[in-house]
Amino acid sequence: MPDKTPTDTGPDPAPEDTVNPSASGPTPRGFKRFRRTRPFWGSLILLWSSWLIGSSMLSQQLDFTIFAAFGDQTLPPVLISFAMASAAVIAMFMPSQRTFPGIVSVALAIAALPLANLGGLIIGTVAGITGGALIVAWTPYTEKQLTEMAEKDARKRARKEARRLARGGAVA
Amino acid sequence: MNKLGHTSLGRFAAVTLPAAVVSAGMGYAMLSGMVGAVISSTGGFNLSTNLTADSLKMRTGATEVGSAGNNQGTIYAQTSGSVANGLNVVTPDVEVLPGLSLNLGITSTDPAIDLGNVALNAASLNTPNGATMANITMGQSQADAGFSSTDPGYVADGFALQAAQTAGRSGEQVLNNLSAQAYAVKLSSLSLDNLSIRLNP
Repeated sequence: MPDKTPTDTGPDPAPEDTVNPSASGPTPRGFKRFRRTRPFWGSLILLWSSWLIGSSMLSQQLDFTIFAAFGDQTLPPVLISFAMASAAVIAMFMPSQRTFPGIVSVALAIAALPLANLGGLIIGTVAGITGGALIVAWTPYTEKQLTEMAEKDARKRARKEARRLARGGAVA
Repeated sequence: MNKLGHTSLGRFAAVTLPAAVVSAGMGYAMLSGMVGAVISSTGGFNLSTNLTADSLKMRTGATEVGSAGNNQGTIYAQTSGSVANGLNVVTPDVEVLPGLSLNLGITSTDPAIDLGNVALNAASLNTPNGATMANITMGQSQADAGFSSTDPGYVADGFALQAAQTAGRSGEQVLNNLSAQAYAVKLSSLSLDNLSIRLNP
């Protein structure tokens, strides 16, 4: 009776690097990976809009005047600005929680129009809506999409390799 | 490990388009007088107008700044039934981008701007061409003038000026060429003729 015991083939091979779904080459590393694994630009734009809306209350003298101006008329710019900045930070560092902060920041950007210096020179409202919408619109690739793109990428690289080999054969 | 992701244009449009519609509605509501606008700045901004009001009251005092003995004098004025002849508001510069500062200017030459109730918190309030007021009470306690003496962070001087409305009459309080270095003002509406809102580099 033949021995069917599997032979030891040594340690398992190291897993292949996950392929970049949208470009040839390995998965991006470092800052590029950080940027592509979260709503990076939406968070930055939202942070900028929070500065525009709150800067009239925060960029000047922070000693007396911040207290002098505090009142029912002057708290909204500060509160809206802090809330939008918080939403941007949450979206940046906790991308899985991005949807609610994104929607709230869009609502706050609209509320800033009458409450905070016409929405931070109007530019703040436009940037807040854009940033919040970019955060809500950002979504991770699904496993199916990643697989399809990895296969497409593999085919593309195989064709490129075949062409390279063909050119090499023609030269020889 | 976070996954790579992308921006869905459909979801972006689903958020942006309703927000744009609501913003446009809000802008229309402000320009047609249904929603007021608040202008405020810790650095102070310039406000100038010719103001006529049914009644006016103002108090002086100081705002607490951290430690005791470090208070800053302010004047707080409230008017009711306010009508302004022309309005010019210029906010301080805001650094939009490094090297690019803008300020917001709101100007109207409308001779009868219905501002309703105006609350003004200012460092200075000047009427160089004089003021005409009726039914003036000077030396009144702030509580008697209707101000709260227990506002947090505010040190009341125990003095208020009040110019009350005579029954059946309006527009008795006239402040000509009023100019203020203001910290905050609430405009009941921006329903102004010849309104100009501009960004000044």
